[in-house]
Amino acid sequence: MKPLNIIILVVLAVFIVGLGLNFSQSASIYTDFSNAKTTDKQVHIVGKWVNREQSQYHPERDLFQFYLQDTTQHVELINYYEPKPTNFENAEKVVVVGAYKPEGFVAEKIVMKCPSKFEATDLKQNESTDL
Amino acid sequence: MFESIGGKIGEILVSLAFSSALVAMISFLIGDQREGQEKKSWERMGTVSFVAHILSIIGIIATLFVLIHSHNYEYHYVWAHSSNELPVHFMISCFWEGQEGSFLLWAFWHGILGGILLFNKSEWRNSVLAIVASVNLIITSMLLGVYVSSTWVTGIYLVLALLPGFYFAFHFFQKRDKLPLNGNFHIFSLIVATAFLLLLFRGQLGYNVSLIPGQGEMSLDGIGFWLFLWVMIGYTVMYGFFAYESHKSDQNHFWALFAGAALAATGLFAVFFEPETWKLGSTPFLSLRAAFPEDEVWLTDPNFIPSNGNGLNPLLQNYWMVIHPPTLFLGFASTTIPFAFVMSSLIRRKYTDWIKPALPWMSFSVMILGIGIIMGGYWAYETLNFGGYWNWDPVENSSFVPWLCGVASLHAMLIFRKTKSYLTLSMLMIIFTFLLVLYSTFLTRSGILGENSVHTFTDLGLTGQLLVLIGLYTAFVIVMMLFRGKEIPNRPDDTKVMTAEFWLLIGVIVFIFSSLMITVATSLPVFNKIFGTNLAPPPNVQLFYYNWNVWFAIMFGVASGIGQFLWWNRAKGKQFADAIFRPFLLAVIVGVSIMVSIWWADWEFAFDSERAKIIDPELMSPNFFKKIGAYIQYGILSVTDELLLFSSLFGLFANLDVLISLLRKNKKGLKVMGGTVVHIGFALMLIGMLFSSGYDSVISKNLRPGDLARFPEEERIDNVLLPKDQKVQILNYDVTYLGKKEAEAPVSDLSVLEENIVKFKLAFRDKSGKRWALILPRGPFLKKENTQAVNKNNPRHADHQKELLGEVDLELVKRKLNEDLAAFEPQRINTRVEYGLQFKNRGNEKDEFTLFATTELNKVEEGIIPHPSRKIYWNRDIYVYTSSLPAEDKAETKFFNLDLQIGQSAKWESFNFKLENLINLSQRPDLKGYDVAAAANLVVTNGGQSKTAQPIFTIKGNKPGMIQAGIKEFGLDFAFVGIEPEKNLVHLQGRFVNPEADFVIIKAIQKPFINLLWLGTFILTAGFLISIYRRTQEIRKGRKAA
Repeated sequence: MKPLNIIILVVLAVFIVGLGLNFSQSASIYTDFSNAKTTDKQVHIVGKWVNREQSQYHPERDLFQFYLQDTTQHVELINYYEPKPTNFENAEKVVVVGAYKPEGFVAEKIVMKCPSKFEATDLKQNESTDL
Repeated sequence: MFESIGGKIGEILVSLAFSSALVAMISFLIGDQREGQEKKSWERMGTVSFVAHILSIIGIIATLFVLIHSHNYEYHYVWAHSSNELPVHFMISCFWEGQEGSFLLWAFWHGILGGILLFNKSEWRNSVLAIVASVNLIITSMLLGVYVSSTWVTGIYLVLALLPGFYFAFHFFQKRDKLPLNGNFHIFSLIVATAFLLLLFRGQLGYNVSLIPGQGEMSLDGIGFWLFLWVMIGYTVMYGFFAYESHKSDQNHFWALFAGAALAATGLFAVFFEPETWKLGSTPFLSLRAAFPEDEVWLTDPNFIPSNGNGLNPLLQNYWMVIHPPTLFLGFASTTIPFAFVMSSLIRRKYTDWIKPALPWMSFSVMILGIGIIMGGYWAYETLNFGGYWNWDPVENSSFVPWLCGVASLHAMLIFRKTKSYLTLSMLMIIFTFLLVLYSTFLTRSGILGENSVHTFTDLGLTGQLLVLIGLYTAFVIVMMLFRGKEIPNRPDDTKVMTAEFWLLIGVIVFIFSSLMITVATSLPVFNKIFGTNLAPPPNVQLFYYNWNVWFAIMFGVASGIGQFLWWNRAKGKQFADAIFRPFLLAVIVGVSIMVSIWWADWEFAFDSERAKIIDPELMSPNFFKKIGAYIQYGILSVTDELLLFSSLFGLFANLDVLISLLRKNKKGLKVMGGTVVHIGFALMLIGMLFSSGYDSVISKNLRPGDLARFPEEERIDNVLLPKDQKVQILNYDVTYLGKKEAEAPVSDLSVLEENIVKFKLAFRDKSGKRWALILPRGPFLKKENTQAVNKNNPRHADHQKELLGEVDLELVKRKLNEDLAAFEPQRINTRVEYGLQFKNRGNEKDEFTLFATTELNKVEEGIIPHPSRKIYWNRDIYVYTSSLPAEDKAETKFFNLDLQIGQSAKWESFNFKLENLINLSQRPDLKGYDVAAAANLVVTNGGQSKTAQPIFTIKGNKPGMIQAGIKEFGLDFAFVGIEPEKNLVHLQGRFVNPEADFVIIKAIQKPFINLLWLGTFILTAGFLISIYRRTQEIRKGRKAA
């Protein structure tokens, strides 16, 4: 084997190890609220939007507050410093990315899972909404 | 008539495309291995079947287009992806909304590229076409839509049942030498016959097919399919054995092994996939009934056909979406050609000659894929609201990685041409490029990305098939490399540092590492699936990818500069140092002046909150050196960004230097300088990306500094609420929200989109040519003379009720609309709303413009999508979108009653009302038929302003009626609900909708130097075109010389 090849292999190995370490450090996890409280790191929490009528957008603070119920049925107030995302009403699942701060759970990002057209099986309903 | 047979024609064509690909593959493969007359015969058969294959794919596309164009909603694909509202030019986009259509597009490009190769006269033609056909064989299998029972019993049963097939194949080969040469056509006709058998017995609902007697429904359909499949496998196996017996060479040893592996894989697949039935492909010609067999509608109306479709996602109704997917898929498809060359070289054991013909294909592939990716980015920038062109979304990444690998392949091939070393590397990179395209398809189609991406298709049950596809080719490659890898002639590497090859190699390594990094990070969901972990992507994905890839980009700048210099100049030692000094100095001067000007212009930072925390204390430090250090580190740009800026500038100037000095020496030099031009373009793109993504700033931010003090630090106020007609300052602009854009009379181009017994949906164009729609009651707009049955012949069609209804008089509708368009409250097609935002530059009166931030109702996903709008300056874009809409509950509506005598006044909230008098209207021509018709003359005063409203009350017989009247400026509406003559009292009802509730919340972003990215793309493309031209000329000359 040529020295250059060995160098390449070593660099490659270092690269892969580095990537693995970096990734495992920066990667977030899917979890629930009780676990999220134990860490400062940002986590992904999958849940359902509940107590809808109590959700509110405060334009003066550019803050949207709503309640999310995670998979363990725990309900938590979410602070999101952006307006209410469009499509929010229709999301069947909501993923919040964020962490606990002194004022409560602050979401940096919200990902919504909207019902897809392929799951729509009611043909008639589609008709009637149109006309 | 076409309605019902259209799908049948389509299915026949799909099956024909599948079987012709199979025949083409086998014929070309055998033709490649034979000599003389026999070779010609196989070759001819391959050519004929490949042409048949191309024609069938074009036929499938044409059929599907006709079905979409004629709104044939009895087909699921048509229903799910199109609607009556859809203009013709967007019907093309229906092809890539669904998976089936996009597979079709992919197969189409393979067909076209293969078609070009048919004219190729080189020795590589047959083997390359065989590989292309094999890929298309698998792609078209994904369009078959056949359901087959797959218990292991069936597998065994099939082996037994199909022994005659084996027998046939065996005897065919035993007697091969005695058959006339055109006996090949026997096999051809057998295959075509089976393809037809496969189709003729396909029932619309007879999918639940089992081949075991007594279990499920036994149909010829399934039998036909299996017969077809197994005859072909048997054929391959027998070919391998026969060839092995007769020649005993390693060559045939391999074929026997490969055929055996294919047989075993298919068998194992049948055994392990236990579900009752498994699906082979998903046909675009599936009927709605077969797609939703459980739906109740079939019980009441077995012939039900919806009168309108589900519609095309409005996001796709954009001209970039008409050209981006075909371009991207052409890019994907074109990676198959270099791959086919590599595979051919391994099959034919000619390891070096393929580089020359494959080189222009590789350049083409990288160019088209690159254009496709950038187009996608441009589309996202223009249509989506994530505020940029690149989001490091898994789907974006998975098209980007093959491009990176393609670039690495291209450079590795160039190294080989120059030094005759690193051949294996070139081959491996080309193989990876192709495999990564397949992997990309797997990620997007299997649904595995789920919550991680916005672009994915839903799983159509093709996951298994996609895995088999990837597995087959990977196995093929591994087997090939194991058997033949040692034969590949690599000249030992003696690369020195100061050579072009060395820097090319650095480039290759950079691109390999970058693609490796992105692939690993993107494969997180796959990793989760395999190991059952619950890892999520890093919260700040952009930063994560940036931190890695910025280093690769920096290395690109340096390597491309030095590499190009060495490639063309061959200067050595001190001479070289002198030569390279000029671009280096230029880069430093320009870089520093850019940084200083940024300091002056005071752009904000990309990852501001993260960095600000670190910067603040150091920047304030009394220690001078610490302060300077902090400025270098974070103050102007971050260190990595500064390095990226300098290295891209260096790459840019070094390449420009090379270009200019060579053009000076030789006026026609440009012809050979494609590579240099490409590097100039890429360096410009990098600078454009650096500024537009790294130093974009939310300019609608911190608009109320006073408010900010009250809130915690991390509360960023990025969005601004604009009440109608009120000036708000954003940056140095006065921004006014002008309100929603309304339809303007006169109307034209009226058409009925949909109708039922009581209502109809009308589409028309307004003054500006924009399309609008509204729903109207049928009764008032009917033609006087009732027309006869329209569609008597086809009672299945939804139109058949028209005979009972009579036809709508469009002339009448047009007249009424033109009288008072606003009163009908028409909505834009797709319920599009445009919010006018007027920008006036405070410092420059000429700098005034109106942007229309748009929202659109996405019926498919049942949500509202905002579309951005932007103002393009030469050095920046101002980019605006609505981040939230006025919610219904915000538009406060209040009702109140007014009971007034004539002349009496009343007060409600801040309004003063006075009933002046009643006006008798029974003589007015349009109210002549009524017994009583009177208007209340109501004067409303608010804030010193007076307005009049005249709501009307009517009586006909003993039926009361009313016509409302409103004062728009006040947000008031009145209804005259009754009169009490004995008390001299008039009853009025008022409705108040707060006009101030008309507001938008917008986000505005400034993107500096984004035009450099687009400019760089054009230059890059031009460079590739030059280089492709040169390489093809080279091949042509080489052929002439030979």
